[in-house]
Amino acid sequence: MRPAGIRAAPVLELRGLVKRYGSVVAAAGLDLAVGDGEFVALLGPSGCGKTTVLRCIAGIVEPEAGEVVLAGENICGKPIYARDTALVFQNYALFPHLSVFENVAFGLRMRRVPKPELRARVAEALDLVRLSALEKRLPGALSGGQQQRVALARALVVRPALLLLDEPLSNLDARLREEMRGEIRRLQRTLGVAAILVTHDIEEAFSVADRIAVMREGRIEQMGAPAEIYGAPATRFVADFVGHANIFDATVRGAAGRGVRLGIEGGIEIEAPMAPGWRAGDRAWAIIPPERIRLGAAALELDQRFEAEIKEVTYLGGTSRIALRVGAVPFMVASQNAATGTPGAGERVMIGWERDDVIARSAAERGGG
Amino acid sequence: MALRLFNWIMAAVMLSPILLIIWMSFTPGAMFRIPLEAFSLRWYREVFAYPGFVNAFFLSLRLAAAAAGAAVALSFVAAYALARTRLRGRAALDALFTAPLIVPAVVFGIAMLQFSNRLGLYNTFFALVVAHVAIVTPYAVRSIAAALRAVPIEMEWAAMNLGARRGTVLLRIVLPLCARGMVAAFLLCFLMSFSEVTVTIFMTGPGYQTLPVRIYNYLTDQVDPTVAALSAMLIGLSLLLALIVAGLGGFKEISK
Repeated sequence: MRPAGIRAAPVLELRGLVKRYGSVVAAAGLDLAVGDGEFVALLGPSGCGKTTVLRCIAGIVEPEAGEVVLAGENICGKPIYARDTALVFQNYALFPHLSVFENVAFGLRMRRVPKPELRARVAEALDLVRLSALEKRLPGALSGGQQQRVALARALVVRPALLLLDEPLSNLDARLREEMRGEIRRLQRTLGVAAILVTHDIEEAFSVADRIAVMREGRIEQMGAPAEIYGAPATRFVADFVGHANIFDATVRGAAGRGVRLGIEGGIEIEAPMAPGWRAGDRAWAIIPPERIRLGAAALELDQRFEAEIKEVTYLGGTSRIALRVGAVPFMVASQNAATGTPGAGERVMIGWERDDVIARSAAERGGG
Repeated sequence: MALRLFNWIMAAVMLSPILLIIWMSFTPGAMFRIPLEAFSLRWYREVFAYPGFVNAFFLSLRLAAAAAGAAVALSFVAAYALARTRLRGRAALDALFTAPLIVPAVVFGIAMLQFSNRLGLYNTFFALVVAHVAIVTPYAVRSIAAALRAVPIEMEWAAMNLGARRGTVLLRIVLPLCARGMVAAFLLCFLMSFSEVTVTIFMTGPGYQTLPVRIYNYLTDQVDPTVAALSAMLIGLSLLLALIVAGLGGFKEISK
């Protein structure tokens, strides 16, 4: 079965990749396919094996079992230097004794590219990352963002079949990170190169990738477009990791029209869209996304309404994060700050949402997490 | 206060013989008298007039350069292997390469003498170089290993990922990045080899007397300020090299 979005033969295919470090499983029979020009993010907490997967592709680490197929050829066992991948490191790994020009030219020199072509390609690559003016500098004389761009140029100039990005933005400050995200996306689109980004940053994965593979303990827990991962998390782990609040354990109580009634642990009952095969008594979990919950008067016309007590209000500028309780059940609400002001702690308000906004999954599904 | 006084006394104890030698080297007479009645470079001229010293100086120079060069080259390979590979018995090798001679120098000297005799290498330049390499290598390995630790492995991966083979990575990336450490190691080994006496005395036949050995032998025959003048010059040379090594951060590495 081929994931949606891949039309032609994939650029990269991982089949049954296995790698362990002692008792830690970094890859547990992992499968992954990256299509032509596609940008895939490997997203997961530290220690989930995402960097190891990247290293297996680059040839820094040899998998114990499985295949790494790049452009139709199994490259397992091939040395690093014979693989058509280009890696951008977390700490950039620029050569400190070589100028920006020589750093970018390194891969071309190794490939014995003739001089005039080498000059032209390095100039083009530096132009692409807007660093032409700094080609004579040493990396040590550049800012973090500039070093990052040199690392990108150095990787892209060799025109690899696959670009590998190992947490490339984690050493930058927040504003620069956002800027570089756009830059990486722009470069990848312009050059049409297939890319894999390893990250633990949800926003980074969401904003850059065509598809996201959420990893956990050496496996891919869920693979899909960003909206799919967020809007329809397959497991509780994914829901948790992509930042959902209001995740509840629940029990299926019975049908309610076209929906289903769920008993939330802590005493309240909500309605959720019906899932096939659910019977009364089944264990389930449900998410009510905080940004879908309405407060006060806006809640009155919604079909799911509860009276809640405000516990804490955290002012965040454009929005406020409001912690409430319905009975004993804690809720989190993200509320737009209006000119009329937000209610304060201790007040009682109505909260509400649409039944179809509730994401409910069977707890038995895929181990349930 | 007492501590400061102690430090001054220590410094005086360490430095006064050296200062005395330098002072002595400028005396005009054959006997050393205090106070110095006149300033003279007579004994400096004597040093250069005595072919035994001049020849021995050039021998020591060649020996120290050869031993230091060989030690640095070997140590680079050894340190790289220790730093980057998972050899069996790594810890033992590490200890062997980085610990200075455990056996007393005299014992090592006798052993080297026997060894070179058996191989028919007694009284050869080659045997001297081998002995000196064995003496100075631990210091070179330490110094170079420290320099190598400062080269992140990602740097090597990056180079390989861009198409460089192991040899190219070593030559174009690793070597330039630890060049300072290598130069410091070379100078340090050079200094140690140049002033080595204990082992060398066993190894030197009549044909190969290094400068320190020649000085030692000279002093058993006669005492005059020629040796003082020579010593003063050697002190100057050592001081210069030591300053360069310190400037390159070389002494920090060995004390680790």
